[in-house]
Amino acid sequence: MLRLFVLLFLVSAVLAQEPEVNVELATPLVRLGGTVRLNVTVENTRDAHIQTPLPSVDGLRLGVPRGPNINQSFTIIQGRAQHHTTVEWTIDVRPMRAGDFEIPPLSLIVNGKTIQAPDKPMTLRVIEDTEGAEQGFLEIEVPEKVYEGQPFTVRARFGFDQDLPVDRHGLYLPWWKALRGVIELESSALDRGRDRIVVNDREETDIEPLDRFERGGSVMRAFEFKHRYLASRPGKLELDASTYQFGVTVERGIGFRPDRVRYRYAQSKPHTIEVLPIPEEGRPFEWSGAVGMIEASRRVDRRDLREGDTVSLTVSWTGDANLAFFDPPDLKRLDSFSGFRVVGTTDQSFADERRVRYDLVAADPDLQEIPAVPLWTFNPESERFERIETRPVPIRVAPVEDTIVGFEEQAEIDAVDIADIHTQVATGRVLRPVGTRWLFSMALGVPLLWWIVRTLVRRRGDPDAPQARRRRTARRCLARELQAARSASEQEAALACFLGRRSGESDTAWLGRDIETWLAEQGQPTTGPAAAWIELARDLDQRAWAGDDQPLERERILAVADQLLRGGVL
Amino acid sequence: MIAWLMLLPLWWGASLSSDAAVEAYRAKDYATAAALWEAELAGAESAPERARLCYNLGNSAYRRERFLEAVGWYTAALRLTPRDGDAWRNLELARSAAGLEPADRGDLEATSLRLLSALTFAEAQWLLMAGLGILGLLLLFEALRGGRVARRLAWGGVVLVLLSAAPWLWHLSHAGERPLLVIQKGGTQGRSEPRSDATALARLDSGQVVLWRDELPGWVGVRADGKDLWVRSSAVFELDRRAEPGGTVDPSSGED
Repeated sequence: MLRLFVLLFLVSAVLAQEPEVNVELATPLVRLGGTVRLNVTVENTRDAHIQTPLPSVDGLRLGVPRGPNINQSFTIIQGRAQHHTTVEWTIDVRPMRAGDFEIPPLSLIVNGKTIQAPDKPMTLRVIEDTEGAEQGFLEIEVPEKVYEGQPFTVRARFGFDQDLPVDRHGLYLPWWKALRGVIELESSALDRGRDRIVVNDREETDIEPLDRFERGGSVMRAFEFKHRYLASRPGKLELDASTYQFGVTVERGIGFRPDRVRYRYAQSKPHTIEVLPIPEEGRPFEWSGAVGMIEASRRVDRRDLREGDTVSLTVSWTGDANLAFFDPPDLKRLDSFSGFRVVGTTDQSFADERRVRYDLVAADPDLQEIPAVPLWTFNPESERFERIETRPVPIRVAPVEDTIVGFEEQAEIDAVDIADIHTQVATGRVLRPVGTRWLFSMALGVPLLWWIVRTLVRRRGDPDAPQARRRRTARRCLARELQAARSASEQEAALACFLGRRSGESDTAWLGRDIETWLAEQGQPTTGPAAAWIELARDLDQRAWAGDDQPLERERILAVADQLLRGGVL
Repeated sequence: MIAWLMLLPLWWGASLSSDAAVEAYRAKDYATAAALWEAELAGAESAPERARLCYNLGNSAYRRERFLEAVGWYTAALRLTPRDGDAWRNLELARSAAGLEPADRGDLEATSLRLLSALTFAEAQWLLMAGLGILGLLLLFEALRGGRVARRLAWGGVVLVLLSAAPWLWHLSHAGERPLLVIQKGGTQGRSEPRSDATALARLDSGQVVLWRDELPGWVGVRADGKDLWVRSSAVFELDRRAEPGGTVDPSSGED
């Protein structure tokens, strides 16, 4: 039953992931006479086949697919199971002539469905250079042999004649991101270059400019890049011939016409690295998996302790080694650390350092030192296993009797006690109760008052009606529009807006209206505020229609409006 | 003026008594200090002064290691001035020393109770009045202007009034109660009659609060756990130390 569950679980995990197909050339540039690999990868399924015959391209010969190589892995990360399956093929592409070629997408049958990949045809440039070898260079430097687990550096130096006006360059490395059986390591900050170069027309990498030097009678402008790898399994690593392309712009492009560039090429030799297995002979039981030349150092945060105190011992391992990949020593298992209790370990990996902090509790007052921390490594140069260790750290541990006195002193300081008595006679003002009758009166009176006011107000109409809201905002609107008015006619329009809002009519009804007639119709007197209004309207008309349209004082208009509101005219 | 001059000796006497109590306390004569403060308490009128005296009496009880009595005095002080930080601190220390659980356990019930009782009865009434005043203004706004916003504000005012009424309602619900604290170490027996040989009906734990029901010389009738019981007067402590014990809240009079 358990197996059935596991099987169902695995099946569901695989089904949950969509298959991914990747078809790409190892490099988009190859020299005539060379071979370039076409890599086909299908992930998250085993049910994949390449449809034959392969597409034919005039000038290229596509070999028989080699494979499939099937890789499966099953990992559990933070309680989540991940099942990963990869199916791979390799197809050798041999050019028959120089030129630019397009390889159509391949057909694959994945989970019963036919898939074309990649989306667009792959481009391949086949070169036949004769000039570049003298005017540029590319040298790849790798070790001939390394041990399994040993980090190594692939160093590429390249450049061109400084007399050439080169304005673009790139590298074509067939082995880039395609080496099997290696782990690419993070570069340390010192190894990172100050410039960038495009690799395989796909991505950029850091390069470091070098000093110019003479080569074949020409002064070369040179660059270098370094990449660190770690060999993860025995075997051979093949680095096919790489190409350095450097170009001189002959003619600048205009509009959509691209630049016309004359490219030159320099090529490196192919290389092979032999990865040797770690020898079984002489391998100690405590070997941690460390491979390389390692140095160990240590530091502590304190040396003078009391029994029961914690001390942090930080051990750093540096050097040319697989620093991030070995198991650091477990101090709990070392007899030399029996006088300590290990209460915590913090493990950190950096590009050029492995740092482990051990939190130790001194459990024995007779301890004189923190002992050496040993680490067994395999040295690839001497081809032997070696034990490296930190130097012991002298410490002093005070016995527990002394510390009890200290705790007592501390307890005396930290003890709690009641707050002192209050000696001042309380003379503060005492809040008198409101009285329950008042409270009940208020509780009843407030809603009653609301109901009365509301009823009275609603008799004159809904105060929230648009008309009522316009009427309320008339004065504010007048002040705002007068602020913006620059002429008497604009002031007249602002006043008409105010009057329209107050009277419930449209603004235009008040333009040119005889105010005296309107007042008479409303049964309003023409004295008091109305007289000031009539005079204001006359002055505005005169300026707007018979004068130079100069504005009146804003304050006068606002004062008349206020009088009309106070006098109940509007 | 004459009346003020007549009151002056009283005030002077009280002040002298208080000074003497403080001096006795500083001289670690806690019994004398307590006697002087108790005498002062009998004549003190204002709630803050009575709370101060209760608090000081709590301290003198604490210093004499009468932790349960100290708990009673601090609780009495907090009933008069509920937001006195020193009294709360000392109460918790005294409860801890007496082996009782904290007065404010920090759970929802204890926190709610502390919030409700954080105001005196008068303060709770004024809070409710303020809430009603704000509601009145919001209702007036609604009556004059109308509209959705005004209506929502008015409803908000109603909610505010209900919230502000909570402390007052809590005080009302406890009106007329005279709580007593059991201060007998190890608890005491609740008997059916005020006699030592009467049947023991229940056991009252030390620190338990019971309600006063009746009184006879040497005995107090209490109500605890739904039962009417008699306990010895010395076993319980009067928590209500207002000027007129028993008349804690009289809703009809409107006086504290």
